[in-house]
Amino acid sequence: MQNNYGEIAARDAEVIAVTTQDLRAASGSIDSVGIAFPLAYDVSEEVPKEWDRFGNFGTNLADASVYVIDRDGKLVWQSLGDNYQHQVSADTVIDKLDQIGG
Amino acid sequence: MRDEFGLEFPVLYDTDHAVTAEWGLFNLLGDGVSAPATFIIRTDGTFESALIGTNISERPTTDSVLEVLASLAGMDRAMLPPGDDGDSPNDVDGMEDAVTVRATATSEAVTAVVAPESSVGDGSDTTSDSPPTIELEIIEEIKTDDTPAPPPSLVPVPVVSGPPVVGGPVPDFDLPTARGESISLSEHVGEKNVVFVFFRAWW
Repeated sequence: MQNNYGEIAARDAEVIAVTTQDLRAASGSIDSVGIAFPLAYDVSEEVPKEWDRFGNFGTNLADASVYVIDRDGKLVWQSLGDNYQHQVSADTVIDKLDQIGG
Repeated sequence: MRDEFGLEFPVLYDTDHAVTAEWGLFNLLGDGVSAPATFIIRTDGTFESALIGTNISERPTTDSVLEVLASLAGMDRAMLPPGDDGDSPNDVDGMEDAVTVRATATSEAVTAVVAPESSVGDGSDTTSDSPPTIELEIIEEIKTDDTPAPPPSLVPVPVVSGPPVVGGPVPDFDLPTARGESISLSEHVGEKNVVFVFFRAWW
């Protein structure tokens, strides 16, 4: 996702990520992988639990998921996956943004 | 329905869910009906508040609605006619002179649309013991194609919680970032489309 951030930003969309892994302990790792979008920490795990995206596949982590939310605050698309390694291609997300007039 | 429950305000049927779906309320709670919701709409068509229940029985009290209406009209709550017992749908009859009330009914849930009127008498009531009068404005029958636009963002509404469903609003959050700042979903919604990710380190 971070490799395609420019293409997403070009569609006037903002990427916001939440992780339950406290990567701050590995200071510098964020900058070293070049994440250009805001990465928020939720070590309490409250947010993914509220969204029902935590530990559904036997891990003690948030389940990798991607949501597209439009300017009205409405959830227009989600990719939740059925395993803990679920990933979504940036092209898929970009297509969704194009569909809603990103 | 009006006769059955003795309601004194118009009830509109939306059995095909067109209006409640457009407003993001239909199946919001995953129960196949509209979530209970009360919107207070200013006379200019903008929203003062959107109160959306997190379960089928969670609705604002009449007094809380009256307080907002009184505030909009620049009055103290005590200057508006009283409601009844705070529980019945007909509690709104206490403010029938002050507001226009409409409701749409799906198969089970009721969505109330409450519109306060702007005109607070003619100023001559300010020295009288009687409450100021507010002119009534008749709202024409609500149709799908002329329903006021939904709120620009439902994210800031604090009662929205639980897993989101496609087509509905999303819960807000406020979390620290890697750089020591804080970020919330609501601060970005409205300005841009948002791609929200639950992130794992190997992504």
